[in-house]
Amino acid sequence: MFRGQGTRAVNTEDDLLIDRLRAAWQAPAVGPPPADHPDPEKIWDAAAGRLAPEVTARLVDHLALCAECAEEWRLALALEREKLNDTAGSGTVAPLPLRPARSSWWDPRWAAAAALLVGALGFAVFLPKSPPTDDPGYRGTGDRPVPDASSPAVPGPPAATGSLIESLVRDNAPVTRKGFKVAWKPVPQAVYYDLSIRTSGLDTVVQVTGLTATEYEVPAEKLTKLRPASHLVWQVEAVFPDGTRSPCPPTFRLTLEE
Amino acid sequence: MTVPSVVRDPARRELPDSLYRELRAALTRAVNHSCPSWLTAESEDLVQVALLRVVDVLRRREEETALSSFYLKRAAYSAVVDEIRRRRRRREVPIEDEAGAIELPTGSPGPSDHAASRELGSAIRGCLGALIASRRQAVTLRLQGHSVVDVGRRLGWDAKKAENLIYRGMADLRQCLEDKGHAP
Repeated sequence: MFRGQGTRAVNTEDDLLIDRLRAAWQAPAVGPPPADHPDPEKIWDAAAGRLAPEVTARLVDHLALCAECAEEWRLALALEREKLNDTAGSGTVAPLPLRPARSSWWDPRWAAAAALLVGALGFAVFLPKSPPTDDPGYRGTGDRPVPDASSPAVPGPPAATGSLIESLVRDNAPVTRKGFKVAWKPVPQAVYYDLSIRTSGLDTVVQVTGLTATEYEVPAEKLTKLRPASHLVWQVEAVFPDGTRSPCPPTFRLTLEE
Repeated sequence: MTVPSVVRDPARRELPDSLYRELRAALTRAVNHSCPSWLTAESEDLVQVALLRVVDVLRRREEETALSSFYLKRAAYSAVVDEIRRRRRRREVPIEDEAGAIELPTGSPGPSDHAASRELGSAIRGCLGALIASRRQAVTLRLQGHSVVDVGRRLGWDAKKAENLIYRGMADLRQCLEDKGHAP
């Protein structure tokens, strides 16, 4: 090992050693694995580099002792590296229209039920919420890991009061049927955003989850069936490394041009 | 008579063709690359389970839903892992018998090599458990295949600190393995 040559120094003797050890490390384990395993989603998020370092560190501590979760982490890495038709992580979205046959799902009664549900949810967000937990999301029936009191808290919403989402689009701005962009200010520590745009009758125009960018270009084809001068409402929720969401997402308005 | 694949495969019926093909190909490659060896014969099944989970995700959403590929892959991954865990629990063959359970091609490592490898793997885990936490985390991620920069990025360190912790962690690991009678 030649020290003092930057990161390249590790790529010599230790790399050879690591290569030798890696095969043994990746072999199936002898003996029983730990009783509890983290949720697959947590492993995925950590392997993809989307979790706070403190949460990742705790998961890695588990991997060090659990051959099975280490295997699952490598599977996450392999899949994460696979490209679908959008650039993973760039925030670009692959629109996934379901097959036409599925339109039979839609029924005006569902719209009424959805409106009631949205109303109920809207009420629910004003109810007191339990504080964000720093549990990395372990599953199973065994003893849950005891959080280390000395470790820093997992990043959650930076301020748990009031809305964290600020629109960068003027309220009630006119928007064109040829497509338009909605944008909002980045929320500190958010790992991704979920966006929904609906008509004033609460029909979904756009619903996107997993956005890493703080803007979204609404394509013209989403707007063709809307009536002129329709009013649209949009909401964004920020999702944090501990899985919590921004409280009280505000509703912003837009008006579709004639 | 051959049953059309679209009839046999509900995921294919439900998902748009291009998405179905892309997701299936990506999942197959990832599962074949990283799936536990005892599940190799069932990898096709695992992929199918994952695709059905994606269909479920879409069903639960409304019609004009769009999902990022990140989200889709995450859902598919989660399904594969749940299925692997389920089969692991159901599996009655002890993991120690694994090498004997699969037919090894001529020239590949024999059962005794596999046993030695598993023993060394077990010793590595034992040694990692005794390392200072930051060194353990750095070395674990290196063993998982992450680069030095990647290790730093995931654990919130700059490259220099990551390099330093990997270096020291590897030295500790080597010493521990030697003490246990495993000369790496």
